[in-house]
Amino acid sequence: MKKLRIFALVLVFALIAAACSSSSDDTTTTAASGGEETTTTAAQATTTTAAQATTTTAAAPMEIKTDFGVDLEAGTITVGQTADLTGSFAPLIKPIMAGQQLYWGWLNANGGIGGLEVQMETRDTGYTVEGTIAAYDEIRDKVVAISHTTGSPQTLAISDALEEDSMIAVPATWYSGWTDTNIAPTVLHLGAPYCLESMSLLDWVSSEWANEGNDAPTLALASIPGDFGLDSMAGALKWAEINGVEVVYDGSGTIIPGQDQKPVADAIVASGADMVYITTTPTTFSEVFGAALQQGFVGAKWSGSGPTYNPAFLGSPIADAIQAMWYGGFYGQPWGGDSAGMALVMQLVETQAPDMPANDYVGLGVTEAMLVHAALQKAYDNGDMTRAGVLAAVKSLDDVDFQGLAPNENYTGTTADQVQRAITLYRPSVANLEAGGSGSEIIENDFVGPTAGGFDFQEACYQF
Amino acid sequence: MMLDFVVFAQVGGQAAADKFANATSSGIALGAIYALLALGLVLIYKATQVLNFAHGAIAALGAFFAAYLATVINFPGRYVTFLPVTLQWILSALVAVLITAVVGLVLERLAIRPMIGEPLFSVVMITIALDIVIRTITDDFIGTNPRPLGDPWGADVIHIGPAFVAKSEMATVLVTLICLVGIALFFRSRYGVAMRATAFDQEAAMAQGISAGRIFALAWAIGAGLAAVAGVFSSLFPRSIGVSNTTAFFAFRALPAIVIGGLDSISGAVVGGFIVGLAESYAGAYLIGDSWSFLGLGFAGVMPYIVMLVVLIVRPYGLFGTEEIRRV
Amino acid sequence: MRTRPRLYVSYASEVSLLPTWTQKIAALLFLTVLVLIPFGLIPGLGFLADNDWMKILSRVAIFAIGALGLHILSGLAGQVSLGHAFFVGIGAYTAAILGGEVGKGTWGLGLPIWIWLPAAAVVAAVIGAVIAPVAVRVRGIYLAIVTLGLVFVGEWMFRSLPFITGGSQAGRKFPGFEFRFWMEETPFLDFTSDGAWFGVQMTSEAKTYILLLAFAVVAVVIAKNIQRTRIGRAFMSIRDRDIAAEVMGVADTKHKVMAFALSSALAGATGALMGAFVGRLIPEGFSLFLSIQFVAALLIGGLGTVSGTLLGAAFVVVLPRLVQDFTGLLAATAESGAGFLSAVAGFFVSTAEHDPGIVSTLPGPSPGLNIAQFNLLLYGLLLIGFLIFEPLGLYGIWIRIRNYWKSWPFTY
Repeated sequence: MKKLRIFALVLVFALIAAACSSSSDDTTTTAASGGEETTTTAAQATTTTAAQATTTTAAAPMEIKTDFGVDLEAGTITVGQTADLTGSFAPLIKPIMAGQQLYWGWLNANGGIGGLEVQMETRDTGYTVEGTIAAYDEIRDKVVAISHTTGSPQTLAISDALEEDSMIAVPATWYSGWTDTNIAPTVLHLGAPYCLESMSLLDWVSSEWANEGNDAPTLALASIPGDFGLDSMAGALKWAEINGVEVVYDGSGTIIPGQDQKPVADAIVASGADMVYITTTPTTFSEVFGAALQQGFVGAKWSGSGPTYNPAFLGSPIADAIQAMWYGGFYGQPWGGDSAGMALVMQLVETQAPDMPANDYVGLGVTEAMLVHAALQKAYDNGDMTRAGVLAAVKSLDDVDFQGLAPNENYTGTTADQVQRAITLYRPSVANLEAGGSGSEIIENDFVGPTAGGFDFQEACYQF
Repeated sequence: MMLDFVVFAQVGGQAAADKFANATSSGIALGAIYALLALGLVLIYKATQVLNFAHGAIAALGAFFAAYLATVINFPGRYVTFLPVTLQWILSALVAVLITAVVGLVLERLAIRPMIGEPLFSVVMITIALDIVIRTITDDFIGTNPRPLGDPWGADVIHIGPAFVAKSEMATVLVTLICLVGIALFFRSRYGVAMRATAFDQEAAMAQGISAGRIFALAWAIGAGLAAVAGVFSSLFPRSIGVSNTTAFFAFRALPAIVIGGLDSISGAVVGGFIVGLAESYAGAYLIGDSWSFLGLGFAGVMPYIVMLVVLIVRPYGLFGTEEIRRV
Repeated sequence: MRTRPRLYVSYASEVSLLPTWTQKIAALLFLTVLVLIPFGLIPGLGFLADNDWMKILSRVAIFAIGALGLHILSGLAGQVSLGHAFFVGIGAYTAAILGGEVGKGTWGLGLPIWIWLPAAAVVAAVIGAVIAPVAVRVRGIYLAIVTLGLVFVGEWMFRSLPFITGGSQAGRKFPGFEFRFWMEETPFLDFTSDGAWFGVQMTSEAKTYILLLAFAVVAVVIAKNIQRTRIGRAFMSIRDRDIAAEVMGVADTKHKVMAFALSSALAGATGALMGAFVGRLIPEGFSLFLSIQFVAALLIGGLGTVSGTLLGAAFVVVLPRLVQDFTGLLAATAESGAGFLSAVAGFFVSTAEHDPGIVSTLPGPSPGLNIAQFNLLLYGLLLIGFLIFEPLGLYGIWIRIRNYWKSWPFTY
């Protein structure tokens, strides 16, 4: 007993001593080294879009202004991530982080940015506001840009600090407020916002419904509370209003994670809707869908915001029903699409992370990294790699090309100019999964529904 | 329009009966899971005076073992391929329950045995700490996506009268009844009587030659096994698509059941479980809609707790609990 | 007198908080060190003046106030309570309603801090006093479950009142640390911007830290004072044997209600300060896990003593940062490849995709737990370890060390 106590004491002191001695160290994690590149990647490196680094800049950098995160002598650029690695959206964020790691590693092996290597500095936030604030505080003086943040309230909570630091941040959320130039000016939108995604998806689903020879459909809505659910629902409600579709059940904000979801499913079934639009976490979605399925609710078409669907459904008892009834949308290109960007992603995964299962979110991580790369490259070319310089650089980009991984983005002009309206449509497919894909069968890239295309987007659909 | 209205009025009565039947059947299925969880909790509490806050985590661990055994390594199904698939899966689940019972034994020996005689506060906290540890490890095992259990009932639904009952729900109720009968029979056996004696008066039982340590270990093993069964059934269709990192929190919803029934009453636990399951189901079916919107969001989940608070005001030791005799 | 600290020659000196000169000087020294930390004047602790450590220390101060509240209820009065997070939330939202911005989607009256901070404590105390007579009808484990139920009911309440809390997952802004006389435009004392105080340039984090330190000192004095008064002794007698206490004339229910009220008051103040410090809180933050953190602080530090509570609060808040730095150090050692230490470190840490290890610092998929999971695991294991091996907590360890050196070299 006594020895155990002493051992415990020693352990505690060791912890304290180690922490005190290491607190001045930089705990940077380096990106995966790209030492195993084949010659084909080198060929792909010399494409002509602004998003790609050219391998020609071997000359020493001219007068580059820097403040934080860029070390010209050591030849490194540090970008930070305040990511949810352990909370409710960790399953989606981990592949995103892997994608970023792969991309930066590939970039470093192909000349970096003017010969400077990019390093990642990741912190876990646990999907909480305090965690995000603490994580950002830890890295704010070490990085020149934030290439990933998770969660809208979390990102909003640090938006004042981001503005103070003139630090750009790329959120992995599609809250429509990021496009609104009045909210969080240094946060960059990437992908169609939830409300416009809803309009495009509903346009598609209703046209599928009509193609099957049916009359005017009725719509049921359900979502979790918060911006993810309510922004999406705002779009769906606007769509219903514009197209004169009857909403027979409005369950916006009624799905509470941790509760029994049968009441929501019962309400949807009782309403007898033809189309169901639901935006929530994958676990709660499976509960609602399962409970509705149990009651024989098989005639409707289900759709919802991107993160609602999880390919794990295809290995579960609801696989057949999901294949038949789910119509999904995604902000970028799902796995297996045919574009130069997706080919690069798939090749990087096969060579460097062969055990990672096919996943739609890896491409998203690469897209985030590509955006930050474009910003950093432009800042380098301008000779100003201070954080404010990077911000100014990105705000001058009007056509960022992701090589097909995502629709091109524009960061200049008004809110209406900048908003992204295109999404990718897909359907779940077990055959795709068994063939080695991610289970998403792409139906159409860069789709803009008529309602979404014609909508006058001036401000965020959902205000916090 | 008028025709729609007439048709609606005709089916009004039918719809109400359907709604009641569906709410009852899902309430019974939910109540069965709560009863299993409550049974395990009360068994552990009666024998060792410890309320096991780690029950949910153990349930999730058990469900994970079942998923792993059934889908990843197919043990022992590999060796008994002459049996039908259903039986193979049941065998895997049984092995998972046994492994979880062993885990319960280990936990009792490592973490609970040293805490005998410590104040209540510390005992409560150690089970909460155990919950954190087991949950973190289990989440790491499960991984980031939910794991389906590979059960043979899948998404099959049958009709019993107007109600839609999933086959897995029927299996849940059946297994719960088997467990109840099993526990009742166990209490008539030698070790069962010894456990009852230890729960009643530990010193007198030890004076009769009953090894209290062995009884504690047995109680935790059986409790953990019951938790595993509950975990497996709470991860099936239609409740979920598999074991995920939210499975462990399910057990907190069963706490009102044991309090309503009384912490040291086995039959009270079971009755409490079914009461809470039915109450939650009816609240979810009837207390929704615009006229009930003042109740806010997720009232059905918090209603068992409110019922529990009311019961405790009236009877501070639960409906069937025995009042504690305190001496100065 | 100087060599016999336990000899009290007057009642005043017996009940005083710092009876001996040693204790007085030690306390003064400690306080001075704490105040001078943000200026980097303490050798060896200079790294604590960085902004992120300032924020951590500020969070320690806020957490300590809440832990002291729970100490009054559980450490002094012996009532098991898992419901502390509920009262923290009540205090936070009272402050939000009274001090929040006017005209936004959520309720806010824009009142100054000298109204919303005390009001948060008072309202939480009143609600604690209302709930307590019902809660104390039950004892022991039932009380633990009732308070647990309180947390869930609280979560439902906060979720269902979006005009107060901003709605589930969304949250709202909280009033910050700005001192105004009444609702004028510019505050006369502003802690949210860097500036000069008495000629010394200070960051806003340093200013906030000093303010929160002052609040924490006030809370410590309150807690210590309660311990030495009649009420404190009544609480302790209830903790030990409540029937015997009642027989001796200590009104059972009345004192338990008082304990609940006092503890809720401190919890409410904690909530208001937390909201002001973080700026934006979501209702899901007032969950069972927050209650568990307070109880853990109490148990790790040492149940029943104020110093123990403070030690425990500091430990619980600083632990994640310690673990992060420690694991980072391990990862760096493993990667440096230098000798035996590197091999040991490599065993623990997974530095690449297929490198086996217990914990991994890589953001992508790799075997082993990630930092936050490892944090949680360590948290649970440390709790279990302390409960089994050192029930007196960190304070108990300190007492052992002190006693060892007191009787050195005759330490047998």
